[in-house]
Amino acid sequence: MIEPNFERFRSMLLRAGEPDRVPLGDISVHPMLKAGVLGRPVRTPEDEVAFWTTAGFDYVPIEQGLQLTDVIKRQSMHEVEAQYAADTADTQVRSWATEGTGLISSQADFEAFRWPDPDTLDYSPFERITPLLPPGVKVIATLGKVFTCVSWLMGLEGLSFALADDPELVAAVFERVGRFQCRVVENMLCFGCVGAVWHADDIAFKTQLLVSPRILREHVFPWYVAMNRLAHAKGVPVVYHSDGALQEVVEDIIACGFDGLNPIEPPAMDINAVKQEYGKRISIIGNIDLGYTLTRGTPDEVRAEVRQRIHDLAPGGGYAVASSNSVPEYVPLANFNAMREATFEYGRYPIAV
Amino acid sequence: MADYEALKTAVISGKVAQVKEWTQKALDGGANPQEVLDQGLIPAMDIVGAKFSCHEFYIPEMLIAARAMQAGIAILRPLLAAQGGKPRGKVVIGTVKGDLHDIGKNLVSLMLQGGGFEVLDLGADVKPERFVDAVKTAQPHFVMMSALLTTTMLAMKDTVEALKAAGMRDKVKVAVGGAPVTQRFCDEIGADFYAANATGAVTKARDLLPV
Repeated sequence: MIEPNFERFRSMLLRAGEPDRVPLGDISVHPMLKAGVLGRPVRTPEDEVAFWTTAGFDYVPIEQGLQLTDVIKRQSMHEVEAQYAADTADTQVRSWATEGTGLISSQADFEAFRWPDPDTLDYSPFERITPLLPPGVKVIATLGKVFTCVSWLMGLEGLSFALADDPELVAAVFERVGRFQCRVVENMLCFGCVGAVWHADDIAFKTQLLVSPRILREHVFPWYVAMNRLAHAKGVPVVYHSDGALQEVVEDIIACGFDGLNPIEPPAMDINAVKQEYGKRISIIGNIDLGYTLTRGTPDEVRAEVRQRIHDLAPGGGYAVASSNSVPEYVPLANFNAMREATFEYGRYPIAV
Repeated sequence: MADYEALKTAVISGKVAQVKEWTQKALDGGANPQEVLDQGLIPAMDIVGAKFSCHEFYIPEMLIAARAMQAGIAILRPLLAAQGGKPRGKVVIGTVKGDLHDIGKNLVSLMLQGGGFEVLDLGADVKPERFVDAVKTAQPHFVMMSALLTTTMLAMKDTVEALKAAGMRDKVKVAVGGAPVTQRFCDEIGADFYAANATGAVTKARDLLPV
């Protein structure tokens, strides 16, 4: 078993030379995979801590923010039950975001919308988990979703039309969501267990950004500048996650103050090119292919891909092994285990693969 | 006298009122509805697709242009029908079983319509048998399937198999797309073509239409 140590992950993020090992870098693992690793269902904070530390991660993620409130979860999502998982023929339920017209499509909708109070969200998991953390293990506070929450609230199509028909409404919704998430970060950072902040906010897809860089620069990135300043003021590094092809805005992401970028999704992003062009200014986390290797490949193929990434990217530090998106239920447990074990096997510094 | 440059500019910039105005002016000036479609609306959406491909346009600009294009088509449609005009090709499209992600599929659908195709959109979470039924009744040139997840894209293979079992596979060309879909997967399941985005789907569909 690898001894968890957040300094390993922090050192990777801050590109402070080579730590003892290449860290693992996923923050979203489906409960079925967690149970598979742990040998029991993950139900309690104790189980969560046991999973993440047993599995070889240096942290325990805890999420909070507008995206978890009822306005999003119950009103902007639709559920489908189908057979999604890799290791069972049983069906599972997944939530899908509204993409057409959302809850807010007019100024009247906006004014009538019952916004929750960011100060009354449940931050107790941060308190409860603190005494459970083994020495050296920290929490990664997970939030982000400025663009995502707006696109869920308005629908991506609704947002698109509003950008032409009612730009003032768009600005008002972004401002409200950004201010909300900013306050949540401020509240999360009050807990000493928080060792990093992870902002997941999908702004791109396979071939390009969802909206123009101009829209992101006007409405999204300024909020990340503000949130990252709050984190850095407390010495807490920050990671940005977005699916898809981000090439047009990697410089903007760096300028926001992010320390790490995830998940460098293939084939949208060439991780070796990202490392070469930006690796001195931002750490990179991810790229183990969810489209094929982790889901439809064999454990040997997973091991080979991890070995290759470590060979190409880990020397000098600044790289963590992780999936190219997350570890959902359709990743076979054997492949998830292969990714972790290959990281332990090949990821010892100095890299010798 | 029809001003197709003005009509194209109106579509590309997403100006619904201007598209209606220039479409109507063209018709009032004696232009044939098919000519307005072929020289105004379709070339405009070709330019929109090209701008999308070179990252000058993104999803909002594409949707806004498509909305304007549809305002023009709404004027032309009854006139084209009265003339017995036929679409360039017919497409059955849907997001596969277990998957509710449909913005990509909607974009492909809009761009196909802008390219002169008739589109029967089956929506999201479409079971293989629904695709088969639609092929039997609508007799399209193409079946196009979209998926967001690696796990749901496997339903594309089920649909190809269902088409084979129903004896319909050689009646249509099957196209696949979506975040996890690759040319390799397309080849594995025996689909006819893969496109990375909406513009690519329209281009390939045009190329594969029977002459």
